[in-house]
Formats: sequence, C-alpha cells, structure tokens
Amino acid sequence: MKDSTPPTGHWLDSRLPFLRPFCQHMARFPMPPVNLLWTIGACLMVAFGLMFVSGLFLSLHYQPDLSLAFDSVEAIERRVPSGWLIRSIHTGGVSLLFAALYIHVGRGLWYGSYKAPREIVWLSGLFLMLLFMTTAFAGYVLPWGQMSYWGATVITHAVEAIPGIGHGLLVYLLGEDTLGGVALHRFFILHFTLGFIIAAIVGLHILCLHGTGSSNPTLDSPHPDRTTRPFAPFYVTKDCLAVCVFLAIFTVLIFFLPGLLSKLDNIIPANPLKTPADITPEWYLAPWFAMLRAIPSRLGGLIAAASSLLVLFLLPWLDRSPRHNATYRPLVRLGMGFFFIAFITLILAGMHGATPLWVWLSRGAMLVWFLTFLVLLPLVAYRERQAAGNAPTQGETP
Amino acid sequence: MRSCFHPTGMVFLAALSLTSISTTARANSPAPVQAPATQAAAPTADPLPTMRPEERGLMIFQQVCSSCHSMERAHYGDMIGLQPSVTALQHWAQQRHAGLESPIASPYPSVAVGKANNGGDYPPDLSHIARTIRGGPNYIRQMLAGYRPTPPGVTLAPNTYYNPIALTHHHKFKMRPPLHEGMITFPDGTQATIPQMASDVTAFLQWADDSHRRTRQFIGTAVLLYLTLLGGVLLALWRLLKRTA
Repeated sequence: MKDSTPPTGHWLDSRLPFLRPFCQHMARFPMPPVNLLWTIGACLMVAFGLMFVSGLFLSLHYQPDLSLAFDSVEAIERRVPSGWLIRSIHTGGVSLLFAALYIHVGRGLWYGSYKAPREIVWLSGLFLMLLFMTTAFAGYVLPWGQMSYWGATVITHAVEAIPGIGHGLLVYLLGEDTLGGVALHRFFILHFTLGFIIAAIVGLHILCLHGTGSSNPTLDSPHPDRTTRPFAPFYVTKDCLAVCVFLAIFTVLIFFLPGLLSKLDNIIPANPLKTPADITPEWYLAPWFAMLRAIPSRLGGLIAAASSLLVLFLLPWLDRSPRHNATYRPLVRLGMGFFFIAFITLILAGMHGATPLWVWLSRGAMLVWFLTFLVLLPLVAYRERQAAGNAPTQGETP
Repeated sequence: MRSCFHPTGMVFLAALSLTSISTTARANSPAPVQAPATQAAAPTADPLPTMRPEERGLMIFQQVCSSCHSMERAHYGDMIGLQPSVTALQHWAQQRHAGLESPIASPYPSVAVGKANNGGDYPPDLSHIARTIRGGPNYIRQMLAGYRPTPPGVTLAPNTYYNPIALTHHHKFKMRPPLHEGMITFPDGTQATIPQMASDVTAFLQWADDSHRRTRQFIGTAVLLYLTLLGGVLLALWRLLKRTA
C-alpha cells in the first residue's frame, strides 16, 4: 500500500474507504416493482427525524420537575421563541408517526414481508414498534397535565397485576409509592434516551432490509414481475414524492386542525385529588388500553395485551407458507381484512368509555386478532405447504 | 422558581421591546398598531388608532376580569403582543405587586378568600377558558351579555344572578354582572356596549388560550404552498423517470 493518496481519488475516499461503496450500494440497491405502500418507510424515517430534532429542542426548555414541568411546557408555548411551533411539530408528529407505523406494519402483514428470509427485518421492526409505544407513553406523561397523570397512573398500575412481585415492582419502577417527582424524572430520562436507541435500531432495521432486499408484491400473482430498478433515481423520487404528501397532511393537521390531536384535559395541571371524567389514552395506544379493559381480570388483561404483541413476533413461524401476498390467498385476505377492522374497532373502543357495547366489541376484536394469527394463518399455511409439496413449481425466492 | 427562564425571557422581552411595533404588526395583525393619540397632537386632525378586538379585550380584562380572575399560565409580559408599551405593562404589573415575568395571579390571597368574596364559588383561571369551557367562545360571548333582570316569580338564592345562558351550565350562577354600558373608554372610539365588550373580551380570551393562531395559519399556508410546488416538481420528475428509467 502506498502512503500517498491516489491523485484521482476523492480526499474522503482514502480516509473513509467504505463511503463510496456504501453510497454505490444505496444508489444501485435493486428494488422489485413495489407499490406506493412501500414508500411509507421513508415517511416514517422523516417523521422520526422530525420528532427527534424537535424533541432535542424541546428538551432544552423542558424541566422534568414536579413543580416546574407544567409551567415549563406553558413557557415553551408562550415565551420560548418558536416554542409553540416546535412543540406542535412534536405533539402532532406522534400521531402521524403512529399512523404511518401502523400502515407500515399492516403492509408487512398483508404482503407477507415477515417471511423468510426477512424474519430479522420483521422482528427488528416490531421491536421498534414497542420502543415507539413506550417512548410515546413516557412522552405523554411529561407535560404533567391531568391526562398525563391519570393515564400514567392507570397504565403503571397495570404492572401491579403481576402476581407476587407486582406491587414491589411498581414501587421500584416509580421510585416511590405513587406517581410523583421521581417517576416524572425517570419518564423524562426514558423518553430522551429511547429516542437515541430508536435511531440505532432504525439503522439496524434498514441494514437488515439491505441484506435481503425488499419483498416483491407481484411474485404470487399470475404474472410475476422479476424486473428490478436501481433505487436511485426512480425510487428516491418516488419516496420524496410520498414524503411530500405526508408532510402536507402533517402541515394541515398541526397548523390548521391542532385541536384534533390534543386533549383538553391536558391543559389542566395534574391534580392527584381530582380524577377526570373519563381517562382515555391517545388513539395510537388505545387498542391495548381497550384490551386491558375488556378482560375482567387485571392480570388477564395484561396477559392479553402482551400476547397480542407476542403473536406478531411469532408470525414468521406461524405462517411458513411459500406464498406471501394476501391478495392471492383468499382465506388470508379475509382474515387480514377482519384483523384490520378489529384493529380499528379496538382503537375506537379504547377511545370511548367502558360501556358494555364497546367492551363486547373489543372482546370480539381480540378474538378476531388471535384467531387470525393463531388459527387461520397456520392452517392456511399448512394447506398451502401441502399443495406446494405436491406441485413444487412454486418459487420462494424474492 | 422560574429563574431558569429568565435569560430567555429577558432576551425575548428586550428584543420585543426594541422592535415591539414592527414585531406585533408582522406577527399578529394585518393592520399596524398605532400608539394612542397624544395630547400634543391636534385632536381633530389625528385619526383614531385602530384596535383589534383582542386589544380592547385586554383593556377589559385589565380593568374588569382580573379583579376577580387569574390567568396563571400567562405572564404580564406575554401581553406584549396586544399592548406594545412595556411601560404600560410594567405599570399594570406593579399595581398588582408583580413584575413583567410574574404570572397573572389571582387577586385573592387564598382560595378561601376568593370563595368568600364570590358567594362560595372560586373564580376560575382564565388561561385556557376559551378552549376548556363547555360551549367554547360562543358560550362566553353569550353568557357575558346574557344577564337579565330577575323575572317576577323567580326567587334566586343569595349571591346568585339571573343569567339564562349561564343557567344552562350552572344551577346557581354566582358571577356578578361584570360589564356595564360605557364602563370603559376605548382609544379607538368603539362604543363600550355590553355585546361589544362581551365580544371583545371573548376575542381576548381566545387569544390568551392560543396566541399564535394567526402566525400558525400564516406559516401553515406558506408551508403548504411550498410543498405543493415541490410536490409538483417531484411528480413531474417521477412520471418522467417512469417512462425513461
């Protein structure tokens, strides 16, 4: 090796030799003929980036202290220059982020993106979803308004349902007997730190994706299209266009309809002595809140909510059929359709009061959730594998 | 307690006071805010200053509402958006033994005193009342102008007042009629009728709840316009690439 840099090479190339191959890999990355749903990932990246940056700016002015938290949020809204803008990006962005996240996961379910060889892409994505849910929950506590306090009280006390260690664990996590200053400080640290952890896992998620390549939605169709295009410039433009539309929706929501995404109760400071009329979570956490409520036993609710997420992690092994795309799997298409309806029902149920109607609707939706993933998918997959075994023409390569 | 905000607040206030008129005009109003007519100018030739409803509403809040209600979430200095004169704001704050960076606190030393002075109900904080009250700004506007003489045959409990609009929310309405014809002289010559003042003070309470609404809508429109242009370019590029690449 020579010490001097080659005259033709770029200054950076000799110092960061992986940079050029990396850029070339990204630009030439072969993309199958994917549809518009494959642009949601890019939208999610942008949404997360906005949340990350706006969150960093908010953390400069936020005070994670029981007596200062609420006033510091009001100060950000009223006195910090452009504070209201940054805060509305952060508080409105979370809804957009989760909307995109659920569409992204739903796309993975419909098109079988969880299947071999993309299991780790799927698992890292689900792990990201859990991290986002935790982060959103922790972040919602920070303004220390009425809904922050009471929402956090309800959810943290779900931990108490764990037999034996429940109460001790709750006190250990909160740092004191009730939700107070210590817990608020911990929620802030959790929320702040998780932002960076999510950034790292997003990197891992994309790294895994680039190992296996994007899934091809046309493979199971009667006319599979195996042509690929390099990622740049066509898919770069397509993603940018989708991001543009996504940002336009974002703009309308945060600048023109801010009341749609905010809860009135959270502009009232937290008061542990006064329970609000009805405690409802934000819509993106509502499905699991509805599950907690739908089961009469607290432990049962906790187990149901946890296992609803666990089945998603097991999906690559529950459905080992060579067929990916639900469009061409009639029973799976039906099941997934019912699952999406069930998910929306759970969102609505969680946002409404615990009336018998909504409790029974959420029980029905939970039944659909578990039946789809634990019964329907394995059965259909078994039949399809039998059929594929008899006629080994079905290709599985992406 | 709020010492952490002093640097930012001070710089912000100083910056605002230096450029108060231009900032206010740019951020909040299509019409520039003029200083009140001075005595030196000829009274006939000088046009009356224009005032926005929320600016008149601030005057009403200062002279009427704030004698019972607090606006804890806002500081005296926050009113710079409606009252560009720092001196006037300082004067108002000092009258209430506070400074520009103090919250607009309740005039009562304790909740008990506040209740005792208002027939047993504590006057609610007005920081976000326009958003949190049932019925919103429309309710506030109608309620403030909704006091009527007690009809014959109706007997009211002591310290309660007859207000058919308010009675849709309360069984016993204990706020004394706050507004009276001509109680305030507005520099812009607006007649201080009760419906006028009710409407102005509602505009002020909406502003106090959400002071950035105009700026937000302006920025929102600009962002949408930009995204539309960018989206158009990207769409054209995408369709071009679809054909060639």
